[in-house]
Amino acid sequence: MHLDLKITVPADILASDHELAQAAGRGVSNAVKRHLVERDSRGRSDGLPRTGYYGDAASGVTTEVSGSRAVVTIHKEGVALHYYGGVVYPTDAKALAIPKSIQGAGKRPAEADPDHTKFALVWPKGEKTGTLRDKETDEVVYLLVSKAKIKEDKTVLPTDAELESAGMSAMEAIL
Amino acid sequence: MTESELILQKALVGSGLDSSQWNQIQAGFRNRAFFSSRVAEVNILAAMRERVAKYAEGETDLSKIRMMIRDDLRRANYTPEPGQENTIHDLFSQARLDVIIKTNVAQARGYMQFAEGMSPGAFAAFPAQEFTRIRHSRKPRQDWPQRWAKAGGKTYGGKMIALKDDPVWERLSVFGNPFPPFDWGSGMGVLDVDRKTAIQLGLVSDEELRGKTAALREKPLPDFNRDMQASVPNLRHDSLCGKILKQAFGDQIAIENNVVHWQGNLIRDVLAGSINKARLGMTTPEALKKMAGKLPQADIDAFKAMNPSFNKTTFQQHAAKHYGSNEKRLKTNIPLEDADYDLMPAVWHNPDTIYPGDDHGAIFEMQTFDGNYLQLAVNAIKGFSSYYKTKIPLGAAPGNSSFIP
Repeated sequence: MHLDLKITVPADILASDHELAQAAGRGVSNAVKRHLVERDSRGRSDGLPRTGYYGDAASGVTTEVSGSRAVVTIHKEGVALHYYGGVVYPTDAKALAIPKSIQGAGKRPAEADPDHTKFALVWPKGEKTGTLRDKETDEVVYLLVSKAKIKEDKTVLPTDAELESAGMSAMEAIL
Repeated sequence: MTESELILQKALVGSGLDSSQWNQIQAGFRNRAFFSSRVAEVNILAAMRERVAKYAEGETDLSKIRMMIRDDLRRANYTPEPGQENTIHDLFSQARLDVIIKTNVAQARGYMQFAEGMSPGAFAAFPAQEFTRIRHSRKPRQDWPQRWAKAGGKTYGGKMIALKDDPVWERLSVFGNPFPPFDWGSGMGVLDVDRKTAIQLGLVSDEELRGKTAALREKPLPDFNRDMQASVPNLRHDSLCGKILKQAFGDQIAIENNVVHWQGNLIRDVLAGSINKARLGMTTPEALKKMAGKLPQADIDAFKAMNPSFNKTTFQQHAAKHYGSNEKRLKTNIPLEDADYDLMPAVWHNPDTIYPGDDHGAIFEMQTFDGNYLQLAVNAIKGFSSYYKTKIPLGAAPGNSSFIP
């Protein structure tokens, strides 16, 4: 996802617009990165092992500066989905698979069981959800759903005021 | 430039070098190469590079990328060495694929964030950085404070902080880089420290900072893939270091007067006009073996003695001529992409098959990871003439007898 900043500098300031945009962009980028690192430190609520999702997102924050404009981008799948919310539908499978055990954590079913020998599909007729279970232990490895509604979560990123403050502080530092 | 583009610009270096040998190669050159220990097949590396770049874009998940690479490996008929199945030496294994994917992406991202932080405006506002955990893992390494101290780093209130241009960062990194990752699979990274704090900690004075910022204005960081050269004391072509470099990088580097020059992605550089021509080296013994019995002995002898150059003008004229004159072939031709040009030296050095052509010609053919075929037409007297990508091998092409470049 992208955060687009347009820097308008008062005429009596000596530093160039471009360098101010570099500073402001970096300030905003740092605020986003710190926020994501903090989220990564919280761990998961579902008890599954950490995947380092938000830490990876923090490592994928970049700033592109062009003239007096800076664009901060987070190169990580799903961040925009969590921020804005939305409904996810399966595109290359019949259902979405939500990992429920360590066997499935960080893996798609096709990777966890490429030969279709380990898991059994249980989807009672008329039910909205199904499961993929370990044939030996009967453990639920994935919950299967036809769609998933992701709630909007603005706390994924710092607030607009925090971002503005970060950009302003960075510019003030070099004036 | 994006992380994805940075990865796609890396030179494909197929080599039998193991990780300890790779560690002997200077960081600057290693960073410019897409390689994996003991993977000599460049078509496999080309597939991996493309998939890794896709992951760097942040558009898909790691599991899907691993599955895509495994499909590529199957198409390239890769099999692990007997007894190495499911170990780190097996390219199908999750552990090996994660190392390849995550390390390349982390290095590209680390470099991007480092380069952005060294722009004059960003550096002036945030001249220092703290070494800290960015990604939290189940079993984090505990020895980082000791390694930080050993690298010459100082702590401030328990925090590991240094100026961005401090040599401690390169000393800390097992890769020799001033940017994360600092070790294989490490979740440690850096967070910027602002100007006021850096001055308060005594890391730099306001005046020194102005000087450093002015120096960055005068001499920004060089383009990642350009103008790279390294002076290596007592480096000779026949020294162990020189041999390892040449073995690993081939024509991507040139050694002159103890200085190693990075030549970039040769074919793409020629096509872009940044260099006039490139030599891809002599005909290899492997290629000569594949000519035996197929080409006239006089032509094989001519190939044995040749060291042809690749020239933009000649290449384009030939390509245009043949694309325009052979409608039947055109239907099965596929546009060449950057990865295909990067594979051209490999097609020349180690083709799957060589077919005879007309008038002292030969077609060097290699299958790509996506199931298509690269064909390099070379004339025993005139040198390189054409380069194509097609959907079907020349041996199976309908009417291929009419296709003589």
